[in-house]
Amino acid sequence: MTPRVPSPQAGPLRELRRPIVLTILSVICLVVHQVLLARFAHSGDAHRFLVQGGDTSLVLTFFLARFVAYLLVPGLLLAVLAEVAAFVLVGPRRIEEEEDQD
Amino acid sequence: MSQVRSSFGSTRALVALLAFLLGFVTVPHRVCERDAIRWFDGDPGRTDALANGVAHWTARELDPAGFHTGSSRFDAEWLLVTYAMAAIGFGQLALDREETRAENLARMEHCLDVLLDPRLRWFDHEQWSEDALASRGGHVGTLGYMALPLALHERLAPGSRFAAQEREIIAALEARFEASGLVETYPGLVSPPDNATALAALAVHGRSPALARGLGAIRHAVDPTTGLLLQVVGGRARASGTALAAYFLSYADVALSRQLFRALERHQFRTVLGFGGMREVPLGTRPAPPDAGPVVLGFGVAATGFAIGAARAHRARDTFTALCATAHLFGGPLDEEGFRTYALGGPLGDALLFAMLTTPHAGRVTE
Repeated sequence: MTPRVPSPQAGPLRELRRPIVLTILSVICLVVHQVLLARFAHSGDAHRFLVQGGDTSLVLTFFLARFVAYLLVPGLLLAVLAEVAAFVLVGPRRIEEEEDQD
Repeated sequence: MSQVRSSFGSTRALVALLAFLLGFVTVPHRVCERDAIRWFDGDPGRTDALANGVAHWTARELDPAGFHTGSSRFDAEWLLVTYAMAAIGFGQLALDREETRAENLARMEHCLDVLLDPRLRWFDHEQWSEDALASRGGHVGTLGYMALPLALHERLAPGSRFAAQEREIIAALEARFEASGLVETYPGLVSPPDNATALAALAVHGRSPALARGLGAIRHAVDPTTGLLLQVVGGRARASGTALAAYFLSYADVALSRQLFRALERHQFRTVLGFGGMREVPLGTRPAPPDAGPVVLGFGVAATGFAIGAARAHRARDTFTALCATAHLFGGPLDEEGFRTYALGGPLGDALLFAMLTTPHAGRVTE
């Protein structure tokens, strides 16, 4: 039976590094999307790009941020929730690792 | 022990992956379609915000060069269609909600003043070497887009300062339909969807033999295999023209409009992850030329947008919802202080979506 005691080396922050990184990336994506959405809704640049094409990196960033924000971020946040739930319910992942090393 | 550890790690990764896939498949379209039912039910909070956004555009003096199509003719066509669809949207909203009538009539009248300025139709004059109102044939696109908002306005405010001009344009269209069935848009080019615009105007004005003749002619432009409408006579049946005609004909011939819309649903409508779209051409046929807006992976942006209006006209709630989800994702709506605008739509996209999202139920205006 594996004892459910977190090791001093593997704190919750280290254990939840991946969910934290995914959450930060998701929030950055949502913020970037919202800022660019407001900018393009007022300027019409995104519409011009859609009609005319051309190399407009800011508009491409907007497209990318929009599709990531709407299509991927919900799944990423659910995956984060699943990892956090696993941490809370099952315990730290590295306990077995620590014991194995002993 | 390392096997236990590996099993724990891979189980967690698998659960996380499954959670991601669950979110990917079930959440995005639900987020994007969350407003669709409000649009379907004509929620004032939605319609008024978009009306404000469109009024913001049309109150400016729009520069045709701002459309950036790369063709001055297309820029000018888009400008005319922007004011026409905006005026139609304001008219539809005024018909739907009496309490907004005064405000939307004023907005509509501003659009009509711009539409009736001969300078706006220079592109049509250039093609025909004569003005639409001075000629005895053709010009159905330009006249149709001027006539429908005028006819709607006459229905809302009979005997206004636009009444004489409305009668003049309707009479010009009636003469053309009586003479030739379908009418040319440009010399040598007969577009059934443009004819549908004019037939909608005739229907809103009042039933006439010319309307019956035009509707009879447009039925002959339906492709018997797919049930879609020919984009131009002698050309191919396409979803964009069919969806636009299904929208306009919902004013003129409910049965024909429903027939076109059902053909679109049956042959062209597809969903991907819950997002609905209309394929521009039937499967297995060669790609369409990009003359009706962008086509993304076979799905027509214009066809998908126009089908929103036809779906609302025919109370096709599920199709409407799926199409609205796509419009939300690709349109990029922004709501700010009671105004709504679509970042990827510009003035034309906003005006078109406004008209489509406020489409009255088929036959409501004329029956």
